[in-house]
Amino acid sequence: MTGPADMHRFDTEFGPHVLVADGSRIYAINPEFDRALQSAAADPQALQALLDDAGLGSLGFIGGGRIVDPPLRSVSLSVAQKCNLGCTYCYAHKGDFGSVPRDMPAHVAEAALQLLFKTAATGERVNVAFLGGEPLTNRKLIRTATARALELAAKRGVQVGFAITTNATLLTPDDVEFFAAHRFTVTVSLDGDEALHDTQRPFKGGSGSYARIIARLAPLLALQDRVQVFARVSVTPRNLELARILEHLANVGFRSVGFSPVLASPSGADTLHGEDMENLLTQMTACGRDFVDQVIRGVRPVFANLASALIEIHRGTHRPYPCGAGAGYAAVGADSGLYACHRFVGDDAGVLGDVRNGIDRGKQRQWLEERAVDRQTPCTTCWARYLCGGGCHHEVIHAGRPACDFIRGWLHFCLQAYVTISERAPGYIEPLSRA
Amino acid sequence: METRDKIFPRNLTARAAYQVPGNPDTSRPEDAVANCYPGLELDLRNLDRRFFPGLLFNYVARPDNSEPYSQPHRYGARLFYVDYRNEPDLALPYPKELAAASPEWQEPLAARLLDDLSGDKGTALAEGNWYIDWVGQAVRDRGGPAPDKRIVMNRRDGTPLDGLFVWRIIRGLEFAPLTLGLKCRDTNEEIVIEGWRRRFTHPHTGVISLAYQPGEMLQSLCSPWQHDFRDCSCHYWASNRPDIVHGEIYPGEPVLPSGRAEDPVRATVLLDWMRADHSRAMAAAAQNNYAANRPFQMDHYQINSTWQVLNVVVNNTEIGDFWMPPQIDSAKPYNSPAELAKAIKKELAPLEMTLALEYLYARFSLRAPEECQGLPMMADDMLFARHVLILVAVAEMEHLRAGNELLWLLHQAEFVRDFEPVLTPAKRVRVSANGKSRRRMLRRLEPATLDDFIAIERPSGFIDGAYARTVATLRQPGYPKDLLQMSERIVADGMQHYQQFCDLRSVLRAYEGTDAAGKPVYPYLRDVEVASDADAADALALYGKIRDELSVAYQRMSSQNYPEAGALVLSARAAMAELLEVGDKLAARGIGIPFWRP
Repeated sequence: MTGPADMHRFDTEFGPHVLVADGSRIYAINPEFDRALQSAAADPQALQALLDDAGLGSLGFIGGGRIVDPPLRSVSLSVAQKCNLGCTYCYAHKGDFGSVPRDMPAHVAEAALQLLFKTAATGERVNVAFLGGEPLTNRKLIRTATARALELAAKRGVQVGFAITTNATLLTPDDVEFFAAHRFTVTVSLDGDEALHDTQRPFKGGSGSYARIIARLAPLLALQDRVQVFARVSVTPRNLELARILEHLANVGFRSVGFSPVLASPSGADTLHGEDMENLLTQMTACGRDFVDQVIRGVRPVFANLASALIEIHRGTHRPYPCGAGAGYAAVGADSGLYACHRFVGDDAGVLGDVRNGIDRGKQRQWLEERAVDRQTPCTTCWARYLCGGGCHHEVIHAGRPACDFIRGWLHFCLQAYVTISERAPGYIEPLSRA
Repeated sequence: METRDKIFPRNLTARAAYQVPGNPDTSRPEDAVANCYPGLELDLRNLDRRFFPGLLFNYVARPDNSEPYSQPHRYGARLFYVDYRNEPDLALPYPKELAAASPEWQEPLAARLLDDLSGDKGTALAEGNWYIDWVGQAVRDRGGPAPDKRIVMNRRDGTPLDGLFVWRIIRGLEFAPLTLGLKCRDTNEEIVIEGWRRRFTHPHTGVISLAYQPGEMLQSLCSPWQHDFRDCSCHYWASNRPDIVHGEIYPGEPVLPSGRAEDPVRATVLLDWMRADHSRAMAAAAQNNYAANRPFQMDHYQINSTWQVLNVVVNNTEIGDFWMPPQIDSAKPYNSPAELAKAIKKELAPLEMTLALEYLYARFSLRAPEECQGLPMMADDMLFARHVLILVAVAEMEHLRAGNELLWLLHQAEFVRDFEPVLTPAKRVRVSANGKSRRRMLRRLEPATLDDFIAIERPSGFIDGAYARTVATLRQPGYPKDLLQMSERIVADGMQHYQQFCDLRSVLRAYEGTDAAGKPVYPYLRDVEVASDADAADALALYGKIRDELSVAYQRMSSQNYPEAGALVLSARAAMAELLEVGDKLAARGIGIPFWRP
């Protein structure tokens, strides 16, 4: 039955549009059809008839079936479950995941890689990500695991990509060369200018980390043609001035900056609530408007959230899950456990097996069944469900869904931006299908 | 920014899923004919005619596997001609790109094959009746030296294999070196030639080998520009090859909500789609059988050159240079199921019953063929006229039943609370949508009566409009789909009735005349008058029985007691057949059945 959950109409400077949830299809509609849609809005049957007549009805892009026993394509290795910073909101309890700080033993990394490559067929691509804590505290394992992955990849004719998320406090020029040599994607956590950053991301001893990071970033930023570098800003109630932060980080030299709201933290500290969400949306859309202006002017924008949203919107991505967690992606803990994602390391809510015995398919099926967006409340009644996928599993399981209005507001804006850019700068949109 | 007059798909999924208005479902790739009938887009056998670079074969086979094996000397893969000059795989040296995409053995082998074909072997092959005698290909993956696996194209008794069987073997060959044994059936001379089984598509781009000429893959399929299409009777091409169609709606021509022409003649006339003369003047109705239409159709040579004048057909209607999608559901749906039920109960069903009885009475007024002694023409015409009237009367009875069925289905689907059979004829007959009506009348089939009948069945008349509203209502979601189909059929019937009555009028016009006093006479009519109840007692008893039985039957239907309902309907039908006989006999004596009193 078609209801408000199956479509979303939105106005743009190029007339009214609808997003049909099924298949995330976007149509420009004429005003007459728009009026008919609006007058039928309260009557699901009439609405369905209208959409069906116009060829906009459900085509069953997402059926009731679940993916079964997906092959593992991506692992993250929590090479160091310890950190030199003491971030206020850290999901990993300041790096140690609420337990004794430790490094991942080499044999666990080896077993994880064996598992990853075991099912990969010639020509396929797999990904290895190094996460922590702060992964660079266990630099040695990063180097050996990378070499080992390349060896396995060559043997099996598989392509492998690498990624690392780091606080950059320990970054050396040698690391940068290494990342460039192996085409790493490097994500650097930075929360704003010095004052903002240092309140949220101090060293464990309490002193600021910003100055040290900036000093160490220079060689990395200089190599951005060879290494993909992202700045990742965790947004708390204390650093909501996104446009200013965006400008600051662009000036620092980042070509791509993404914001990620803190919705859950183990202590509850620095999470966004109520009014913060409205501010967040205002700030995000302000950044978004700048992005649109820049694209129209032919300037390369740095705001990553909208850039990636436009790719998904253009492709009509319709996902039954928010991400690959627990499906093609698993995180490996230092304890050799396999978890749905890096945020679940050490957390019983997300255990899906261990590196020696592989994915526990029973647990995984249960996870995939339970986590599907069509099983979530109130997602089944939300038009944005196949764009959003139901929200980060970790946040949803630990903090519920406090950000739905924000997500809808943001996606509404992204849809409008997509239409504007399609009309004003079509040269930006069409290549996205290959992005 | 221009005003968009359409719904416009923006992103990739919307573009992929967007169906252009007017295109049928079969225009979507996943609905292609080949999905149901694999191979209909091309004939795979054409690929294997050129399986060996430089040679072109024809697979000579019996018309059908069940045919007798009467000409074995003709069967098999016959060498049609040696074609090394236009052979891209033998154009040496290989361009860099082809060399890179080919295995190492291919280019040296091509050089040897080209030597053979342009030398003595090729010269020998150019003359005589050469067939493939055997093929040999190395067996892979067995370890050790690869022996040739040789297949001889003979049956156990030594006679040649049927061409289709040879083709099936050739189809099984792999892209690899291949040895071919050719035998001349005139001289028994043998030639062995080494080459490889062609790679049919480019390994990187998937493009079909350039050895194939344009259209070659489609040979033997029926396409509009081919002879075969003219006579094709494969009815799974229904959407591609219509037989009869409604004529094109001309730009600016007034149309009904259904999309048909408002001109009732144009709305009902069916044209032969393949007619040779596509001018408007020649838009005459198609005959009702193939042979009668054949002389006016395009001939083979015409379809080869002018197939493009054949019109695209949408909803059984030809479209010319312009196509306007019809207004969907311009009829106003009834506001509620209750309102729909009320319209059926109070207006439509009683009206159908009145019409059934008026038509039946008129039918009784017509002379039986045996009453037309010495007038063979009139006997024929009466046969036709009585047939038309009974056909339409029966259809109206079916509509009465359909009206009742709509009511009991609405009741069963809990759209309306009660069900009560409707078996009472309406007192007045509504003629037009704007409220014009007349008394119900039991009349002989005089021209005025027939004109009234035509007025009732005219497309866009009251009945048409009322059912259009019914259709629009039932098209809304939530109603069972079979209800919609039932109501749509009634609308389609109305079109036919109109046409049939018009035909009848042109037939009967021949018998209109006046007597010496100038009074009109109708020689084809009986002198029937509405009689007293007593005179028509037998007929009225049958009529009563029919109504009573149908009433109970419909009640049983509504409570889903189908066995009992079915038995009652059967009994009522038998009574109807009897009424037809009794009524005809009474009418022959001038007694008209008083179905109602004025």
